[in-house]
Amino acid sequence: MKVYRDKRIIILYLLPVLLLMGLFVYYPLIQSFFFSFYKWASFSPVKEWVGLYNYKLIFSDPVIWGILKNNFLYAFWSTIFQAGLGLVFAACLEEKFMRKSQPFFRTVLFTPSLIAMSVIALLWQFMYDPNIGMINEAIRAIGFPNFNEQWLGSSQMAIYCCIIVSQWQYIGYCMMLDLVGIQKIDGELFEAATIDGATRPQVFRYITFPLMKESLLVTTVVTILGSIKVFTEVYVMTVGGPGRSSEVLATAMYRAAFKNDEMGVACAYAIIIFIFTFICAAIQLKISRTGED
Amino acid sequence: MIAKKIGSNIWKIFIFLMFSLYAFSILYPLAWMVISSLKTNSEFFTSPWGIPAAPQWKHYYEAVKFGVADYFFNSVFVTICTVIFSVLFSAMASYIVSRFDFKLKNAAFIFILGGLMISPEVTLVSLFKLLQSLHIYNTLWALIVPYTAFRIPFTTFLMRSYMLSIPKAMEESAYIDGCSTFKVFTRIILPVCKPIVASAALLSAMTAWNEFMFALVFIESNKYKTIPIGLTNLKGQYGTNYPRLMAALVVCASVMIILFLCFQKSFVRGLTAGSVKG
Amino acid sequence: MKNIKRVLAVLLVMCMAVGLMAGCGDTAAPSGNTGGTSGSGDNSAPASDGPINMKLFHKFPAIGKGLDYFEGLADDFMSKNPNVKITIEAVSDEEAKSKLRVMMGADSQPDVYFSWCGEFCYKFARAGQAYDMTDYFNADAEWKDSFMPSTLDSCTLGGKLYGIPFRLIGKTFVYNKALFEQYNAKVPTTWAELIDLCQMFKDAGMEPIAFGNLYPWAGCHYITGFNAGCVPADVRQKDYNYATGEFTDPGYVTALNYFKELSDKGFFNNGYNSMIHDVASENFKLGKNPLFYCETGEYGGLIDQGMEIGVFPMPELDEAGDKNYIVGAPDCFMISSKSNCPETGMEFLKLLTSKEWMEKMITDLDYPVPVKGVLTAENANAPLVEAMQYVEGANKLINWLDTDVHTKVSDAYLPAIQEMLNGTLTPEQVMAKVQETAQIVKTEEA
Repeated sequence: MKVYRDKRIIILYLLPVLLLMGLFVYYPLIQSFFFSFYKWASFSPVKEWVGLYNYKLIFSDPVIWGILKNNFLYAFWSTIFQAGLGLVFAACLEEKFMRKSQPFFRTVLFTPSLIAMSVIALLWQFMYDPNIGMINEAIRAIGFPNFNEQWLGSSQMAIYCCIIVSQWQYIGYCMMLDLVGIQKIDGELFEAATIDGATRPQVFRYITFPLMKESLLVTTVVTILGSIKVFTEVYVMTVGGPGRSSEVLATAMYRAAFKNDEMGVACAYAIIIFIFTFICAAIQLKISRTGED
Repeated sequence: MIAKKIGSNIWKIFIFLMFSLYAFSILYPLAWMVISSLKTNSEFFTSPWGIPAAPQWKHYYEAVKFGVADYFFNSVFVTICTVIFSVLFSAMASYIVSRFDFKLKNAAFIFILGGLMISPEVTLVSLFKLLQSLHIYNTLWALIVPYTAFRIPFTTFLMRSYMLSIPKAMEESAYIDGCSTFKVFTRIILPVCKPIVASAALLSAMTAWNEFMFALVFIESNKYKTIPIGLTNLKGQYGTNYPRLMAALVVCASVMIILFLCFQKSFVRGLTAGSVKG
Repeated sequence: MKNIKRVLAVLLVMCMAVGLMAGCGDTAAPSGNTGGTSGSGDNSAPASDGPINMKLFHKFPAIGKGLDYFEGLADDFMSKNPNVKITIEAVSDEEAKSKLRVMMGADSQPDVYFSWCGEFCYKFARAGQAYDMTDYFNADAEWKDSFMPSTLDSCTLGGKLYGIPFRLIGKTFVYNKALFEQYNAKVPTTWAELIDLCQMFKDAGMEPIAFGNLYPWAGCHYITGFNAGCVPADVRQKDYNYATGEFTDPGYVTALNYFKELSDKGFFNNGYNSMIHDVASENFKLGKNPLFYCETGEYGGLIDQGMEIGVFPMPELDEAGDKNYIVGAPDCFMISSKSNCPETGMEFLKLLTSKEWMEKMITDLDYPVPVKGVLTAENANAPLVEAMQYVEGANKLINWLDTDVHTKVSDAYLPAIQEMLNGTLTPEQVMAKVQETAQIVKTEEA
């Protein structure tokens, strides 16, 4: 149709978005990119060109591998739980026998994502407390009176504690996005499949899943990008500790910028974050080119 | 057949139980937050899982008075503006990238999507300088504009995939009838997209309501601060009255939850069924 | 065409709305914006007659406490100087560091701003962001002499004064008097006695010392003292200076071992690496732990429900370092080098450190002050009076390790201490990390 090629309309409708993003998202990013080649403190007037030194500094510190591993763990578990389990949950809630209780579960599961992460993190800090925390108390109550896991205080467990909190908060969120999508699928498809004798898992495998690909793409991309950018939960609950054991890219960046006065290093971290997210998003889009036309 | 039926019933019960358990794991901590907010500070630490002897309702009064009341309007205003701008602009952009044909379409889409990859923290210092030179630093617009800009990528992403799944038939017939793009957009596209608009609006509202770092850095006068910053007034340098802090957190969180409960109706199941079937 | 016009109209209205509101915001807060455009605007006028807008930045936002105190102080100053208009920005402790740096970076420095003493303050001075107060300060001998001399040292770099101290924080042990009485315990004066005391409480089924190290500055305060006790003063001074720091003295490992001893013997409460300092302080208040290593500014909160506490300093160590010292430091206010009204700022700080307002700081906020002869048994709480005797009797005030060394060194040091307590690093490995970082800093800054 001719109207779909009208240049003026295209420009007009895209203009506000392009302007806002250009000015407030990309311009600062490009600035960060250039600043990553300088050594500078935010309060110092002098910027000294150091080339790739900041990047070298980051990668010569063995801590970076722990950081990348933590981000990878985050992305891995978030994809499985939020994108994967979220869709399964949504499909379950759409089952006939769940319809009645759907509004209740839908609301409850979504609730955590309405609350600020800083609040949630504070709340979970108390949940994880080894002395008075609910988790240890519950495990002690069911017959392990000497159970004394340190959770956030343990170098091995801390990152998983943060991951669990993220899942707790966001499974319902992804489920909600999927639910909107599933509800758009023609109900007759499900009915026809059921009449033909398909089992519930089969219906999910052959109807829900293929039709939900686009929605799954959305949630997967969002969760992976979210895991690479993850900041608040780690910052509030562990500040990257104990030691640097739960450090992720964004907290390392924040540490460099606002603790160590190395804005150049912080910008380099920012660019590393950007590169990772860019690669992930590009792969995602490449793999699933559904819905292009 | 009967065995199969029993099997499927067990399966159903199992799923129901799983959901119940999960719901419990969500409700319990939240309930704990509410109960804790009514305790005295020493009860909070001595019997963290018990019931308060005498509910301290005054914590809510103090929390509202010291941490919330002054900042409520600012938060509401910032949230509403962010929602309106981000949803409207994103809807316009998604309409273009989901329908129109032009050479740079993919480039435009990637440009918008690219925003998802940028963490707001990265841009903090640059944005601060930029807002100052635009003379909107230390106004509510210093929050609304960046919030909107950072919400656009995701909202567009969300809406585009929704719009792609809407058949073109209806708008095409409208165009043939001589409708303008504006009319098609406002009368057909937006109404059909209602559920996703509602989700997008809710998600934007969540971010704007809860955001902390920009609000901390881009606002300096007390009268433009938002609630998340106001809450820090309740934290002393030495020793915090935790129940009172919890009370403030409950107040802050319940605004969004109530909003959600009201909004929820608009993307409840079957809303799309009336308009166009997929 | 018609639709284009309509969309244009909508857009235009929105842009106007944005512009209008922005404008409103600006005009609605004429005073709040002065610092934002420092260098231009009306405060570049000579200070004699024209109105002076001064921006104050502090980190005491608690309502009913610090916020009210500084508002009262500003009002007092403005009533005495009608041509001055003060705007205040207060953010909390954790946020103050980042906010201050962002403001400095974007040339919107507050005129008068809070700072920690030592390296934190020197950093601003070296970057040319701090007003040199020396001449103005020396001109008023009476004012100058009112301070405890040692408190001025930690705001002085290269013989120049960059900050005015306004509160003095010392670190001591506090103990629960009721529990001490019940167990017939005596205040320890040597390390061995402290160990015995802790062991006694531990045998009685208690966790002797309340300790919350989730934010690792808490542990760092122990190490601050142990380093002072184990490493000769001149070596330490050389190492804490980023240009000459090596951290190879065996005393640093000894210091870590003292700390490790407390932890290994189980004298700290369970789960300290996942506990906030605040929570540890509540546990002490509830009588769960008889001992707590805390700052003098915290006493007020500990005794507000009638608890009886006593004070004793960390026992001296029989090592190569200093003797008779107290861990602690003043906090100060600095003035921006870009400020248009540094003299007004100095006047303001003079009012802050006047007897009247220092007394008010003690009575209202329970903070000890660096001005001589203000703190008395009448206006201060009992433990504070007791602690100040130790502070004034000490030869030396040892500044916090984390604000005294280069930030990158402290950023390697503190998390490593956490790991040592967790058993993932040995004291030697901790120091190896610190040495490595010190080396990097040395080459970078050279």
